[in-house]
Amino acid sequence: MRLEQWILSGVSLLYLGAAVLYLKNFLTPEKKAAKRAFALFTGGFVLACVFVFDQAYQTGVYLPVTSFYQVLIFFAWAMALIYILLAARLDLASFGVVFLPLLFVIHAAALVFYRPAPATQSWDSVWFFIHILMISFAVANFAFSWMAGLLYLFQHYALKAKTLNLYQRLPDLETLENTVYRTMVLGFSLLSLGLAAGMAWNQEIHSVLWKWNSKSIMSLLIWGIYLTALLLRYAFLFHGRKVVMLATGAFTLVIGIMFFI
Amino acid sequence: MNTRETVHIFVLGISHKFAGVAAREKLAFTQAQAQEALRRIIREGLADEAVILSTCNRVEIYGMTRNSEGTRTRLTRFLARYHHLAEEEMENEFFFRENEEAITHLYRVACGLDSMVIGENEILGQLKESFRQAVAAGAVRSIFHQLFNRAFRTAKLVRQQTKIGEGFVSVSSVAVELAQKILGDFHNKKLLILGTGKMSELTLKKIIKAGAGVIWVTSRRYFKAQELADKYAVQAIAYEDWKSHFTEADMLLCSTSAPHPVVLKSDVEAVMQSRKHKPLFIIDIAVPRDTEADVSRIEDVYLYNIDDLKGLCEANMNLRRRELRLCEEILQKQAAEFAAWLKQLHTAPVINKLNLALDRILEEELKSRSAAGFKDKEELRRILERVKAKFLREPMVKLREAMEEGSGTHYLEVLYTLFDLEKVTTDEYQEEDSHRQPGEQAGLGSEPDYRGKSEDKISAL
Repeated sequence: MRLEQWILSGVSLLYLGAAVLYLKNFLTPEKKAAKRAFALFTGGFVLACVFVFDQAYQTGVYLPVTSFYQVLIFFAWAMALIYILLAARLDLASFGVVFLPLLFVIHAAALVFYRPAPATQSWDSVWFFIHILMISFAVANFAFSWMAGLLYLFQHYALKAKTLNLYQRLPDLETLENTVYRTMVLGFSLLSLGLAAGMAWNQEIHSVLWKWNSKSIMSLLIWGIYLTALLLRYAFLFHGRKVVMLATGAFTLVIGIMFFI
Repeated sequence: MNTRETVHIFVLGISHKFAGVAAREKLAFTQAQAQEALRRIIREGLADEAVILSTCNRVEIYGMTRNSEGTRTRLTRFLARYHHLAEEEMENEFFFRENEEAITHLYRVACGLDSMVIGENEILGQLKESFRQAVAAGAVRSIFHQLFNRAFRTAKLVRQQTKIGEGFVSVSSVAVELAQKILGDFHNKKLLILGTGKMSELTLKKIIKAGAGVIWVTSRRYFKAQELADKYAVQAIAYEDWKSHFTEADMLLCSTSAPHPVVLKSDVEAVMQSRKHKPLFIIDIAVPRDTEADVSRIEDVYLYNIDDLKGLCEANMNLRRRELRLCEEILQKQAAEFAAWLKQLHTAPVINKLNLALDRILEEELKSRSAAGFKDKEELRRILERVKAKFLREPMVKLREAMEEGSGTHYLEVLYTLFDLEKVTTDEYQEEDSHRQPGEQAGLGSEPDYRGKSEDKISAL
């Protein structure tokens, strides 16, 4: 096993440890378990930073997204960065129950798809760099929106079913709904910028602003779905479970495009 | 010999567990009365130290005495005289506990384990205030300083290490907790109260404390709504206008005496349309219910009736009850530590006297003719002190171990007799204050280091 595989394994184990502690804290709330979980997660994130920078150096590009496993790791790293930035504002202990298992699964998948980094490359345009960067962080924000949506639905059903232990351990509905939509706003803005950068890159390389293919059609569809969700929320002022479900369902489409197209 | 005058801690009291409110209120003390009673208890020799705890659910007198004969009878007589009651009338209502049982009882009270609502925190504040009053009355010295400060620390430990205080156990508190889980930040939320019963008022108080934005109150009898509105600085509205305000409310509290539902499913559906499905919280504590049952099926409406709220209270109470065993373990351990500290207090006067006796011998030898030939008197003093320390080290270690095992009193008596310590007195050493830590002044609120200077004295040997 190469050094980078060891680092990746270390990151996976730290995230797994954090996931277990967050789950333990959720089942029997204990401040120490939540603090330890965050400490393990932070350790994993620091190690992930080392991995990402190492991969960027090896491949000779600022963004190490030249292979599938690199895309996975970079996406997970972007999500972890957002998680840390949101740490001061959110009840991370309950997010951790959903987020850390997701991070672990992504890293485990990256280990499965691991290949040594290809020879030094360069990109043909800075627009491509901006396109990839914006899209990565857009998807990371949509992932957070999705997690907040899942927690909203859990909390909704816990409150409807009057399940004491569950509803006490989850954030309130207003906070969750706000998180769904604020991360969605940021994600949508970044997605718009990313698509614009993609069009600029297309123009530069292929002398055409937009190429109609399955990927570009699905990207437009995603952009449209998120725009609809945002309009319903902010222009028409709709709230509640159905709108959250729309936002949550939109991310399923994002995953489908990332993995199958 | 001092070692025979052991410390007795007791509690004489009346509580909700054994007596009704009529009996308890006859024995209640105001703050001024408690201070006066404490001074009399000390003056009349009923106790050397005392604290009176008087709340709506209990009246308890904690005391320390070195003369435990007839304590219960004498104190009962005192209380009867003080409150102008017949002694026979009160005798059956009291409970009386001594020593380890009294200490454990105090710790249980401080931790809220003896309260009507297990794990409630208010009693700790009341106990602390009672202790402060007793200190101000000059009724507290070093033993009760130790005892009560340890009780407060135990209460804190129990709260930190168990879940005894978690979860709400009153209907109004659970309602507010649910409101916060559904609506989030209260400050910009609107509450409509339909009906002005006692539960409405309790919930209203808690909601105001949580910081609700706008609150409307209405009732079929407008003057009742106005009374409640004036009392809590909220808005009273006419009953006929409640539906128009309902479209703006985020939370509805129903407690009318209507014999049939007043909040219909069609009303709520219309409200949800105009609210664009922002979550709506409805608490219906009326019996019969004010809200049609089908309202709970409406999307984004969270409806809780009185049975739902009581069920949640009971679930929280069960969680607290499951913590009782752990709480009991913690407080038994803390009570045992205090008992051990108390035991080693008996050692201090004897050791002090032994030290004094040996120091006197050292001084006599230093002044004698045999020492006159030594040029360096200070070096001679140091040699003699070292001899004394080495000679006493092993016996003192053995004595401390024996005291911890509970068999040390015999050794103290032997020391006392063999060295004739009865005759050892000085102007600085006061026999009756032998339990006081060195450097501590009598009757003041100073708090000694709970480890006790006497332990340092022994280890210094």
